[in-house]
Amino acid sequence: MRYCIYLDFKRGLTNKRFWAVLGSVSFIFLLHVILDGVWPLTHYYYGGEESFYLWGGRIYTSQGEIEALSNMELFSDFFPFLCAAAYAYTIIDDRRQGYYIQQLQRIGFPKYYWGKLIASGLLGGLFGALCMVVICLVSMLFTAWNPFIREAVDFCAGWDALYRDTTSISRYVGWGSGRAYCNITSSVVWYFLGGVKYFVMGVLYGLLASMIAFLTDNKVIMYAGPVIYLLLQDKWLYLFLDLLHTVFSRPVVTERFSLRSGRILYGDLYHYFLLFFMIALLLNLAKLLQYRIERFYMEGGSADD
Amino acid sequence: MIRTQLAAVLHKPSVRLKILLITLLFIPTLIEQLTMIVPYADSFGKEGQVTVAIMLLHVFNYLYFYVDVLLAGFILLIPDIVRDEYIDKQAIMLSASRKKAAGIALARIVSFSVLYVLWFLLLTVMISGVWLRNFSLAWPHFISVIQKQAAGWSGWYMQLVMLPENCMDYPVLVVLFLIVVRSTLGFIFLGMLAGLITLLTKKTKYGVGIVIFLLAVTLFLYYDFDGGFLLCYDASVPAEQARVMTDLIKATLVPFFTFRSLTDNFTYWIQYGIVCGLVLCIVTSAGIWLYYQKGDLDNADQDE
Repeated sequence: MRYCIYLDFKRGLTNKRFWAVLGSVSFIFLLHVILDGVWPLTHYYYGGEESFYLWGGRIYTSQGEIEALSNMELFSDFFPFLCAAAYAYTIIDDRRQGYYIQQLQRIGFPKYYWGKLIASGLLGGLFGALCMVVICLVSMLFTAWNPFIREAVDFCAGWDALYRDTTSISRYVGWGSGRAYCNITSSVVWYFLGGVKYFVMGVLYGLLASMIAFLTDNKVIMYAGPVIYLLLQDKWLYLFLDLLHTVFSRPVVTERFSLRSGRILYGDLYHYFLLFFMIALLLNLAKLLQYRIERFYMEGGSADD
Repeated sequence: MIRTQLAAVLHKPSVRLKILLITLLFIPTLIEQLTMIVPYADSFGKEGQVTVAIMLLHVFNYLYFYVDVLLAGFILLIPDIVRDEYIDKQAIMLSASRKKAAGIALARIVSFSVLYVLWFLLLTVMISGVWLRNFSLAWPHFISVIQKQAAGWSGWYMQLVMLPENCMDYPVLVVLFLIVVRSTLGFIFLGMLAGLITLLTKKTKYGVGIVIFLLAVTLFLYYDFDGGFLLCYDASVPAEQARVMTDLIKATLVPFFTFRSLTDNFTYWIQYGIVCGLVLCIVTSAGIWLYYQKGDLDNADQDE
């Protein structure tokens, strides 16, 4: 089994599509950071009004950019799609091209099935973690050119101290900011936690996409399925909380249980709890559906679009 | 022929599943909006309540709604709308005419887009009708309050209900009709563009991809860069006006589905959206028509 997972993982990692998607995402991040920086820098070099370009320069810090990139609507909405594009598509490609028959003859269906599922989850997770690495690298490299970087860092430190308890991006590990086990002061640790969060989230979406691929044999549904799931969960959670608004506080719960990548709750244990719960649920579902999918594969069921 | 085609496609299990998913997504999103818009309208005073017509205007004029529900669902349905190899071949064989097959293909995209909009129009009327029980066709007071606030603003001005100045010069039904026509044209254009790209590349994924790309560009510009980039800095004017920006918002999907700001001119924007939609639909449909006359209609891919 391990060897099958290793082979699939290696196949995904050496596939140009994985790196091409990551490259496209990096390009969008890069474009965002450069365009954000144009404003304060041009002001400075063209001799604009001092207070005005200082303000622009002050918000152009690596931390500000990391938050801006993580919160990007485009990134939040398309994150499940990106994780699906990491590896799950090979399940459909292999089936369409008949390559799965050669693999099944050698290793049998269970190893093929679990190898693909787990590799897809891991590669989705790796893709998520790499997104965080790219966000940090791009932000740090480009904001270093900010002529007001010293002032900007001081300004942001003051801002953080002032609003640490009231903003949703206060850095803590625990069950909510009021019940934090520890507050994170180091940016390195905080962004490492960000990488962990995106990894777990990517595993969930990668697994979900591979399950959909096995079940439907349909690429559009495979790519769109995780996005639709994310939207459905967001909307129905909101609706139920609205009905139960006297019992639960809606903003707090939707914030913590939403699976949008833009939520900067890298240390919130409610968030991790939901992610791990969903992963466990999916793995159980995969186990339950294994026989049905095996029969579908062995009978050579026709592709449905 | 077109009725048979529509029935055949609508009976496909995958299409039914997709429509069910989109509807399941639409209902809570609409209720979410209803729970937000009612207190929002109340905050302007009790002189005017939200009506079903205003809710329709809001739903078909709110980019967030399109991104999260209507466009996401439309992208999901594109493979079923744009091309069906079997039906195309059948149309050519039955009529022995490529022109007729092209006409059927175009009619299929147009009919699906219209049906798609009508389905959500109907759902909105039903759900908001039950929720609000107010079918008045008069302009509520809070819209005029919002517009008065916007009139004193020089830059962009966004509110939950995006109905810009001078829309109240027209009756509610006329405004609703224009907005729905504009949205429908937007969907038809996206369907035709996806169809054309699918025909040219012989890959449905590129047809879907082009729509996703346009949506991504729109999101990037609208949410992150206020519709344009800094072009130059004009030191001769006060600092607040020193930014000279490119205005790229009209080159995105925004004019089809919403307004940029409450300070925009309603008549101008709706004209731009409808005329632009018509022109783009004609250009893309001409492309599809020409391809059907000369192009290779064989070997449809299995990507969808």
